[in-house]
Amino acid sequence: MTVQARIVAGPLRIERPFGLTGGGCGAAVEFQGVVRDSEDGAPIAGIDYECHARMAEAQLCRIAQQLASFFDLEELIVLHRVGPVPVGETSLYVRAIATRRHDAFVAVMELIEQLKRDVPIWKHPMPARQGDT
Amino acid sequence: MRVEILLWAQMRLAAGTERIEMELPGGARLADALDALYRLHPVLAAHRATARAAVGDEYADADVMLHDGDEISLIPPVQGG
Repeated sequence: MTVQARIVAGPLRIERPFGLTGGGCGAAVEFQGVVRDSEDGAPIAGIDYECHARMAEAQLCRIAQQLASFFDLEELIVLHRVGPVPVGETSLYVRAIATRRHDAFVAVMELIEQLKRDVPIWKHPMPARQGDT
Repeated sequence: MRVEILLWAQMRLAAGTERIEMELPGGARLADALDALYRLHPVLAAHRATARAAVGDEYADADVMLHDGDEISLIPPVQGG
């Protein structure tokens, strides 16, 4: 079982090609959270993510380890970008590899739910400059 | 004993600082630190109902015993993703 949970400053780089699952696994689910062009109806240029990095990584690791074990995943990777993230770029990347699709889908969904409840990261929308939209 | 309180997001902005040091009597619990903090910094009191507290890297209950040098983080509702 491979579990990786990291807070990353700067663009996310996926270090291994998607789809390498090994013989026993039939499901690989990948999710990317992308910054939208508006927040609460107002146009934005991006989101500046504030983060308690040490605690966030500890909480992400705890969540990922528990879910990987519970769903008996082959692999669970979660990367969260912090600092300024422009509109259209990825702020969150999750990948789960499992024997069957149900476990992979549910593990990804549950990880995101727990992340949004427990991981100390906050959004600061960056206002769009005039002419950006 | 001395503890350090770290403030994040809207609490950091409200207080105008990211850390506050506090002197507490021996045997103090997390609730004692929070009571003292909100009494000394009423600008933060509006967040008391929604902010969670952590000691070190783990969320903690109000009755947890504190130790000299502990780092307490106040975590307003998170917004990752």
